[in-house]
Amino acid sequence: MTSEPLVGIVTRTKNRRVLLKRALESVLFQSYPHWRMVIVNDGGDRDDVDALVASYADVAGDRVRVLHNAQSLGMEGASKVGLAGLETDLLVLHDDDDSWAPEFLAVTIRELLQLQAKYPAVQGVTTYANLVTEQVNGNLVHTDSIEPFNSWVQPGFLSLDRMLASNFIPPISFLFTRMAFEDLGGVYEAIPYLGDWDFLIRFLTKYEVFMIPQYLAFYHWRSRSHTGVLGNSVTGEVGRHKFYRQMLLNQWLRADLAAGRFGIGAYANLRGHIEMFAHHINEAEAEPAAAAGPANDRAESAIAESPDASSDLAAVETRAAPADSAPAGDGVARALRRVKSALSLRRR
Amino acid sequence: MREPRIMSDIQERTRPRAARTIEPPLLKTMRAYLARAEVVSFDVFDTLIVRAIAQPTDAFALVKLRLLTTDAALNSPHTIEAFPELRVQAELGARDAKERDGHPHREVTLAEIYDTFATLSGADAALIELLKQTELAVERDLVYANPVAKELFDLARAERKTVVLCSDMYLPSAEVMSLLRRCGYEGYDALYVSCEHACSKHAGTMFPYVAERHGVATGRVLHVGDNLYGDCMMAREAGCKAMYLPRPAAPDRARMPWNGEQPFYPDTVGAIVEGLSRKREHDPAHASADPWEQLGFRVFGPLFTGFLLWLAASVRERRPEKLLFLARDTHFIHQHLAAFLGVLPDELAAEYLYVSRGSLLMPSLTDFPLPRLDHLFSGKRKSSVRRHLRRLGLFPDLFVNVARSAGFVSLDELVPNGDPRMRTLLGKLHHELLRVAAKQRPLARRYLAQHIGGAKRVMMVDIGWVGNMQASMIRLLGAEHAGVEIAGHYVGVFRSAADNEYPGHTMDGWLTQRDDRPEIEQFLWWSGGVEILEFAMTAPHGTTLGYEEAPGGKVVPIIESSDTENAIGRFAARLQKGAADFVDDFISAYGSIPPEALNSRAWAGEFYRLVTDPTADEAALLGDLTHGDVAGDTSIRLSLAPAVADLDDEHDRERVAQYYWKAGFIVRNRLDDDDSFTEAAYLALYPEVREAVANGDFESGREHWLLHGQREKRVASWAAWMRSARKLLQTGK
Repeated sequence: MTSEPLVGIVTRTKNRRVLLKRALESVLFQSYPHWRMVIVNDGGDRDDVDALVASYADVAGDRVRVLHNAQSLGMEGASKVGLAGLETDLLVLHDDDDSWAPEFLAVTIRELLQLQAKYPAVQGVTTYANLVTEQVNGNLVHTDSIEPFNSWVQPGFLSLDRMLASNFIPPISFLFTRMAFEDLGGVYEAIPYLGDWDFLIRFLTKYEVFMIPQYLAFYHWRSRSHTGVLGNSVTGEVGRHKFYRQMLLNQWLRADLAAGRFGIGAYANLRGHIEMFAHHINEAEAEPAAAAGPANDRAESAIAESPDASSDLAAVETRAAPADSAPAGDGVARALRRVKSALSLRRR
Repeated sequence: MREPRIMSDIQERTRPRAARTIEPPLLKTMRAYLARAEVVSFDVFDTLIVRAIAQPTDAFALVKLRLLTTDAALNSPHTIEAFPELRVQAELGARDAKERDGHPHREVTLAEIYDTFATLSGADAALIELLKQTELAVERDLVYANPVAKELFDLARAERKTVVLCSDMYLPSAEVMSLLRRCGYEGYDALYVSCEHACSKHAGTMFPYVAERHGVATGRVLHVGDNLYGDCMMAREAGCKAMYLPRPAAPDRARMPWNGEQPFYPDTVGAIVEGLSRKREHDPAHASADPWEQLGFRVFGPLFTGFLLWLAASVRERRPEKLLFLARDTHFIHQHLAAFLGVLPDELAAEYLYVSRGSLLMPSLTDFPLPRLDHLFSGKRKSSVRRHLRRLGLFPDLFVNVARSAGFVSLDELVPNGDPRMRTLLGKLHHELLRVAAKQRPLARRYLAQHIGGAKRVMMVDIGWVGNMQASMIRLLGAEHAGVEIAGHYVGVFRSAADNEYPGHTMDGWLTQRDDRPEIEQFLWWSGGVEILEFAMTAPHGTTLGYEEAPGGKVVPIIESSDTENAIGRFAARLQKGAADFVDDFISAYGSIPPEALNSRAWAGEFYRLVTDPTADEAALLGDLTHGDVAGDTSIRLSLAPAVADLDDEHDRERVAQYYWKAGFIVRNRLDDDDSFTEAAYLALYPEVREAVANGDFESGREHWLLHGQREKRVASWAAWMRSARKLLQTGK
């Protein structure tokens, strides 16, 4: 690689004009000028995107290109389309709702080149990210709060073991080489979510990723429960994440079983059990009142009341809820709670 | 069918009185003054014409909201975000500049204000022009004629007096005249706007100026206005006669700060509600004395407006292909949503679906989920085993032995909700039930298919609360509807709705969503909120009994014959008339603002207050209503919050828990001052005590209270329960 490599930036967008504007500006404001950006309009309004990009033509020059997908391909599919069009040495997936500090590219590229001189296995770098919780109303964005997202991560090489539990590196902060990307067969686009997690795991099985301890990336979450176009795929569709996570865990485990080895699959699935165990222990030590919500209590009191009691619609509905809708459902935890409650109430 | 006596009592108590007209003393005073005046002068803003919003400066927030989804907000977000504050600063700055430049007054024109605005904000000429035009458009939408002032105006003209209008205003006279014309004011002799004549009422210089221009002494001028200083004091100081015509006070409005759902503007929703309430107070004809209409206007008008705004914003964001409104609760919403949607790029088909638990529950029994069997026999009225089985499509007598083996003595036993014997019985009849369901399925499925058509993205609207109807509909979808996504939209979605989740479909609640605070579910919805809202949304048609094939092959619903004799339906209709008045007023003044801009839970503020902190009148009005349909059924039904005699001992106070509307019952029976110990209240207030008692650690709440609660200064009365509820909903804690 030259000392001033070209960076390919892929942004997938769909009808999020106010956020896309911010993302575009975050790229245009980079101090490092050697980049090419592809905006993949994944089935959204064409004119809006074209007009927005055109309004920055004097600053952008010919560095920004727009591709329009007539039909929505989803996050990963659209990214693939964008990545395919870029012949650059380095790549980064810049989500349309995230943003960079102006020195992101300058710092990450400089560090990557220095590291590769000493450790050729380093094919990607990342930085700390700040989590920005915000609300979008019409075309105005209002920031609620900002806090460090993953400052617990040690500077230095990322842990593959920890990555197998869950992803802690938002794509906005991950810069990687095209060489590694192609060697790994690209991003897995058959699933609409968690493709970035799968990619990072495969990346780490072969290469190193270095964490640079500077807060150069911003990971934005919409706080209200929008499930429409403005929602995050994480906050709005937790159910779908679980869905695809299970699919990936199964695939990896199957591959191990077929090959007769203890590999990523066995490792990742086991880690899940350890996490659940730790979770149960934590729950058992939590406050008794919090563990059983009013929903179940109402049901209990509905049974306890005489048959002549009025039909409380809500009590009926909650009776239908499975008994373990409270967080910790197993007998040990409940017994622990009961003891605790008796002790604490008497102590007072 | 004879109505229960209690219904006719309510009817009698709430018969509308004659609408009041303009106060006779006021007219008499006016005539007396007129006799001695040659020139009659009226203040314009807030006297002749009024804006339907709390304060004139609130209108600036509306400018921001109108521009929220435009390119201006995209390109100049900071200017738009701070517009209300900048606009106020600009006016102050312009006036200060006038003084500094040596003028003897502080009168400024709109153009001068915006010049200062440009300096403050750095906005370019195009944006300034847009802001100016938007401000004028907002004023135009907001103004209405003050009926009382209009009558005085007409009287002055009828008496052939010289009628002039005097306004301390920055708007150009052309604009003011246009607003006056819009409100029906014509035929006045002159209009004096302070910024054009370099004098003002406030400074005392307008009155001598006007008197001179019309060649009379100031003593022969009568001025009418709403401002105590500018319209009355300064007029009198100049020697004129002054008549004070204040704006009517708007009713107190509930504040809901805990909601925090107005991130961009302080209480604009409250300002709008106040403005529209005042408009109604202003109009003697409109302000009917029907308490149902009043309640509808004050509480449910804003509530339905909020729900409609949320729905409209969601429709614009999601762009569904089809909108389905479920009978019967969404009848009102279905009627009014179009007005909120504005212009949509595509044709959006909206349909009203005749469904009910009775018509869909059995046909949608495609599988046999034991935890959800309760829905097959739960309901608002208790029925016998026999009636339940017959309703489920079985011949009850065939199963008398099965019923006995399940624990029933006879088929005529009444079944309370959640009865485990009924669950056992239905479990034993699983094949029979599934077969009956399969037989009923085709008609229901065809009815649904007719209304969904080829749409893939469907938005469904219902009142709430756990999504059973949505789950039923999803199960009824046949193979030809693979890939249909139903986005359920509800006033509220409770935590137990988790059962009804299904991949590919979503459920969204406006006021409460499953991740929200369970205490709010308890204090609001399960303590009367559900029942009161269901009453307010009662449709003027009967429930859906089932489906049949009409000649021609179309499947049509069988609807119970309309209960026009039904008193509850009549009260609800009157309530909805009041609510419709609010919605209409809202659309005419605020219809140009995109729904996203005003979408907020704060619209439910008055409703929350009604449920948790009602006035004695409200408790009496709603308390005698019974929950459920009145369809000639003699089975047991409970009132929402009846007045009960002799509530002296604790046993009676326990009964609060039985009634749907706790706060209503407490207020009606004057328990809100009573802090004596009540077991049910104690358990309701402290979940950890409730759990301890359930686990057997204590025999009863009273035991805990005696051993620990008293010492810990825990409170144990319904009065305390109400205070907690009020505090929770007002502060979020």
